[in-house]
Amino acid sequence: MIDRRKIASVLLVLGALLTAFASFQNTYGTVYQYGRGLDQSFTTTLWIVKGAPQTSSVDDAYYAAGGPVMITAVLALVAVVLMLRERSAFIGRPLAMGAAGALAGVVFFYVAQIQHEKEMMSYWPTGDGQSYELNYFAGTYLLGAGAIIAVIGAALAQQRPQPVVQQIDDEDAVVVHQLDHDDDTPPFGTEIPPDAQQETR
Amino acid sequence: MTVQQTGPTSTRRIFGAVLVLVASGLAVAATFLSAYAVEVTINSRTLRFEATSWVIERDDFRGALLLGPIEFGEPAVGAALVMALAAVLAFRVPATRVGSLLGAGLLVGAAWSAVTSVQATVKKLEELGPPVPVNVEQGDGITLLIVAAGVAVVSAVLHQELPRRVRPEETTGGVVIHQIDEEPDDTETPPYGYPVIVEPKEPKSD
Repeated sequence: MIDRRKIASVLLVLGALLTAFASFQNTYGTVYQYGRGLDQSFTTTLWIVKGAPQTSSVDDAYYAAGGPVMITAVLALVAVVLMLRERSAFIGRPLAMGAAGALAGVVFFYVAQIQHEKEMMSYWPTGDGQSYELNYFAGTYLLGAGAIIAVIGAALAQQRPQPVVQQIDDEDAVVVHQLDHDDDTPPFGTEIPPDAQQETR
Repeated sequence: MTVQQTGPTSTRRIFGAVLVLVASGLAVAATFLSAYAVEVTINSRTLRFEATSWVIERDDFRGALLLGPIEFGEPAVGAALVMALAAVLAFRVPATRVGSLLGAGLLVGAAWSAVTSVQATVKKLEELGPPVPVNVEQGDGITLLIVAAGVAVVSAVLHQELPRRVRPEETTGGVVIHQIDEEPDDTETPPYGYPVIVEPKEPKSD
């Protein structure tokens, strides 16, 4: 059976890398049709927004969540490294949960913001060839999946290692059966009086 | 270094749980305060846009600036719920304490994104090149959200089961084995000692 903490580390790394990768993918696009053949569309990543065809410029994204996503993903990876050694695991485990939570918070906010924009666009007047639409792209789904995977990984990582019970199978090893009374023989034995060593016949 | 887990509910963790609840309350309260405001003064007439995280409270521009609420309400309330549940349930199920860390993380992420959004709004309005100066204010809502996130992180750490060092003097009550070599040789005294041979007493001769 695979160790649960190893699965946790793998999931954390996968979630962090997936969200980092998703930040460079198209997350959503908006299409504005103003009528009389005047169309404009924008495609957004977590870093930039590209306009077409009238404005073919590349600008910073309005909801530029790329920085926070990358930093929280790196924190999650740092947590995995800290969890590799038992001495630093007690820092790594809470850091993993905090980083995964922050990653999920950033993604949650981003999706809520896009959803709100979509709702606002639905209230705009249409007709006369005018229409406005917002479409989600694969980047948003990858972001959501990465954040969920990271949170699951962080939750699994919270399992503490079971204390190792040493079983002494070696017959030659020293076994202390009982040492809790004053009249027990101490570990180094009872002092032997010199006279007692001479056995009388 | 020897580490062991602290025992049952300690004063630190109770204090942490109370602070987690305080942070949850602050986070929810922050969503109902003004998140940001945009103000323009034209010919001694002031036009103002103001929004919480849920609704637009005032828009003198009648939608011309295409501004809307900064959507941190749902993430912040979600984070507050996770933290509050973790703080309450942890008294019965200690493993749920980790939920306060998850909630604190969510809150930090939401607060960070909210601040980024305000900065993006400032930049967007600057790029429009308005003929009159536009003043963008970060509202009390976002300031309180940042405070809530800070309190949440500190309280979540206090709420956790942290390892502590075990001092040698703490173990004096039990059995102490000073030295038993891994490879015992014949010259060492065995743990039960050597059998004491008692010499029979000689009869007294008067």
